[in-house]
Amino acid sequence: MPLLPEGHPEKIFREDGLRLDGRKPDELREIRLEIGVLKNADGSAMICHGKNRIIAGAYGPREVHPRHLAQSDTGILQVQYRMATFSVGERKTPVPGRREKEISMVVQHALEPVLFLEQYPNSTIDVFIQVMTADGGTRCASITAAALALADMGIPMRDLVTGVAVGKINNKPILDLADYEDKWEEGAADMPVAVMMNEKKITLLQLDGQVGIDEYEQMLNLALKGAEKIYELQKEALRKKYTSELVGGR
Amino acid sequence: MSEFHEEGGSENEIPEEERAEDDIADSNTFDEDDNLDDADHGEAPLEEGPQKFDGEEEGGQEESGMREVVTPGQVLGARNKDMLPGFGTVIDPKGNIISLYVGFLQKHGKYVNVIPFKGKYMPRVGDKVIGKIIDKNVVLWKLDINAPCVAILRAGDAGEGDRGRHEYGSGGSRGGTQQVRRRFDRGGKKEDTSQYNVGDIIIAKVLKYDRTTEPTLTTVGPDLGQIRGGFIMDIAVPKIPRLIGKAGSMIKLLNTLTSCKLFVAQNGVVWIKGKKIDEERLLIKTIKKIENEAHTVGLTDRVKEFVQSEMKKVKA
Repeated sequence: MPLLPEGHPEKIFREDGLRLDGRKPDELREIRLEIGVLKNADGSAMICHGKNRIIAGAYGPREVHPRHLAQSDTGILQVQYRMATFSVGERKTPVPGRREKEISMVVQHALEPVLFLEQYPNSTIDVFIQVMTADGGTRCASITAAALALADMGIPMRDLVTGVAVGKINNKPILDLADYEDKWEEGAADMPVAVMMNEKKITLLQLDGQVGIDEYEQMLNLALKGAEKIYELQKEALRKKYTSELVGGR
Repeated sequence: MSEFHEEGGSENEIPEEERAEDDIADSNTFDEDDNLDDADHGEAPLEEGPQKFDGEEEGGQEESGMREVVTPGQVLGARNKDMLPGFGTVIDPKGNIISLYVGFLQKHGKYVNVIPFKGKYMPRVGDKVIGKIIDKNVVLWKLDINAPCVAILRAGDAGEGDRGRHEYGSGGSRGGTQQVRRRFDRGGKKEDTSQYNVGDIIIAKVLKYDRTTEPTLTTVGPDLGQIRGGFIMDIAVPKIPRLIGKAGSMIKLLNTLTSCKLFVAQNGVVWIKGKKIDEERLLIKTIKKIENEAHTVGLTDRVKEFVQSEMKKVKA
C-alpha cells in the first residue's frame, strides 16, 4: 500500500501545449504488435500500447460448450476479457466484474462484423483477452490485438478491426488517452472507437461525457486518423511475422 | 488428435498382406481436379476458383521465389474481365477484390487466389480423412477428424471388414429397399459397432456434409478402413496440396525414394508406414521440411536432393 494516496496531476497540458508525456494532442502512444505469442492457441497476438500489455488468444471454430449456447443457423463468437490481479495499482479481484463483462460484450460485438460466422453453424470461435498491465484504453487495444489473433488463426475475415480511443480534456480533443488523462474531470469526455479501416465502417462507438456535434465530429475524425496509423501497424505486424517465416523456411 | 504419436509395433516387421499397396499414393490424387462447392453453400462468400491451388508454380510466373504476403481486407485490385476473385478472396461493396486471409498472393490465369498460412480443416464431400474413434454406441461411432465438429460413422457405412468388396455407399440406414437387399447380401449378418473400438485410427471418406449437421463418413471403398502400425503426424491443412504435389508428384517421389508408404489425408493427417524405422523417421523429417518450405519455388527438386543424401546416411 502506498503511504500517500495516488496523486493526480495539477495540470494536464504542459506550458508548451504538449501533453504531460510529451505527446501532441493528435499523437498516439508507442505501439508494438507481436503475432503468434502463444504456442497452444490457434492464433494469438500481443499488443504493447503505451504501458498497456495485452495478450489475445483465439481458438476454433470448435464445438460449443455448454451445448445450449450453440446456434444451429450460425456460429458464435465468444470473447472473454479479463484483467490480471496485478494489472492495476490496487489489486484487482480476480472475480469478473461488471466492467469486464461489459468489455467482453463490446469487443465481441466489435469483432463479429468481420467474421463469416454463418459459415460455422453449431460452432464457436473463442477469443481470450488477458490484460497484464492496464494504462487506459484497454478495450481499444484489446480489439486491435484480438483482430490480429483471429487473423493469425487463419479464419476468413473481411477486414481487420482497429480500436482507438479519443477524448477531450479541458474541451480540447485529444487522441489515445492514457490512464491519467482518462481520469481528468474538467471538460472531459472519452470515446472508444473501433473501425474496419478498408470500408471505413465503425463497429464500436461508446461515449462517456458530454460533447457537442462539432466536437463529436472533430473527435471522430481524430479517431479515424489514429486508427489509420494503427491499421498500418497491424498489417505490418502480420506481414513481418509471415515474411520472416517465408525467409526462415528457405 | 495428438500432434505426433507412435502406434505400437512399428519397429517390428510388417506382415506383407497388411502393407498398403502402391495405389495409396494414387488415391491421394483424387482431389486435384475442379472442386466447385456444391449448391448448399448457396451465397457463401468463400468463392472457390475453378482451379484449385496445387502448390506448384505455373511455368515460372514468378521468378523471385518471394511472394507477396497479403492481409485480411487488403484490396487486391478491381474486379474486371481479366481479374476474377478466386480462392480466399471476396468482393467488397466497392467492387474490389479483397483478401480474406493472411496468406500469399497467387495469380492463376484470370483468378486471384490467396493461399492462407494456417487454417482449420472444413470437411468436403469426397475427402479422405484420417480420424480417431472417440466414442461409440450401438449404431454409430464418433470420430475426431480435426474439424469443428465430430464426424459420424454409422455401422452400416462401415462395411464388414472386407475392404473394397462392397460398392461405394452400399451401406447405411438410408431407405428400406437398400436395407432389405443388404440383409440378403450379407447372409443375415448383424449391423453393429463391434468392428472398431474407441481409440482406433480410421481412414474414411466424407459421405455427406452440409455445414448444418455433423459430417457422415464411410469406410466402404478402396484404402478405407482401420490402419495399423506406422506413424501418424499432423501438418497444417493449407500445406496439404504441396505435400501431394501436382497430380501426386511429391507423394510418388517420396514413395520411390524411400521404401515407406505415405497416405496424406485431406484433414491434415499423414500416415507413414515403412519397413525400417530409420526411413520412417527420415520421411517425418522430410514432411516437416515440406511443411516449412511450402511457399518456396523448386521445392520438389530440393526435397529430392535432401532425401537422396539422407538415404545414403540411412543405408550406411
